[in-house]
Amino acid sequence: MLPSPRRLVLGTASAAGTAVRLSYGVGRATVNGAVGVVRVPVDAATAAAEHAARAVIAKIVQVIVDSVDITALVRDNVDIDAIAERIDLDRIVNRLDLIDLADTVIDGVDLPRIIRESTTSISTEAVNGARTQSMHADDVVASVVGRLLGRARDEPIAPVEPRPT
Amino acid sequence: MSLPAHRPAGIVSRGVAAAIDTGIVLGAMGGIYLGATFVRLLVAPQDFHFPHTSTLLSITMFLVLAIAYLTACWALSGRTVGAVAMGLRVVSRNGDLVGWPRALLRATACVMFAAGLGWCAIDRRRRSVQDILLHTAVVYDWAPDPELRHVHQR
Repeated sequence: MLPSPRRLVLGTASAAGTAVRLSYGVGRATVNGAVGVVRVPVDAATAAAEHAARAVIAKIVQVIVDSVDITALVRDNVDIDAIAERIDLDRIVNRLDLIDLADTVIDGVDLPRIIRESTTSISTEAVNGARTQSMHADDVVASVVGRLLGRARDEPIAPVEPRPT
Repeated sequence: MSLPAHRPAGIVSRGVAAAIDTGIVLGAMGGIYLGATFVRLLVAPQDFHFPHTSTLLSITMFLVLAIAYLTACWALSGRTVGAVAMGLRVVSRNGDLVGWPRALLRATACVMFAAGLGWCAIDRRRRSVQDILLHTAVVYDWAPDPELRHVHQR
């Protein structure tokens, strides 16, 4: 007995619905199982991709920085004076320990040595000046006495030298 | 500045050096007097009074101190404090330092007859009476010159 067209259509539709439902169930189960299997590799791949992206971006930035003269860029385009005028120097100075800073500078400069050397230099020059003046005075006295006694002028006086060893 | 040759020094340099040395000896006498005063204060504070100064004792002390000071300085380095200040040195005729006996004789002669220094203003070779008698010379010598002492000690 041949099925009626109406029953044939209904049967086909029912079979198709069953097949779709079965396919959906099988597919869903398959997908759920597959996701559990591939989750870890997907995370590692994502991290690797992020790492690679960061490396590429860092390299790009480095190339850009190397190819651009930032100092000239700032100098030509930034009003440094305007920035400097807005800096509160008093606030910065108040944060410094000036006494400690001065001690550090004095320790580094070795002030006692400078004072000692300058004092020594001044005293040495003063002593040598006095000696030179007294030598000239000796010569003047000798010249006057020599003139009074009628000695020949510019008569040299033999120096006293140490005995050769 | 180049150092002067070891030529004989004149009356001005030697006179200034002698004046400085006189001040040194007088200062030493003052120090001794102050020391004696402090010692007396420490020993008998209740009975303290400043030490009496005898003219004869002061003169004797000055002579002894001056002779000892000059003798030691001339024998050891040829230079007193005044000589160091003026760049002078007492040497023998050949340039060596004088020995202790001659330094003692020269110091005694200089202290007892200081006027003998004035002869160096008249003498052609700038010698004082003491220099003529003891065959010494006072020369310009600005450098410490340890060689002189080395020569003398050999």
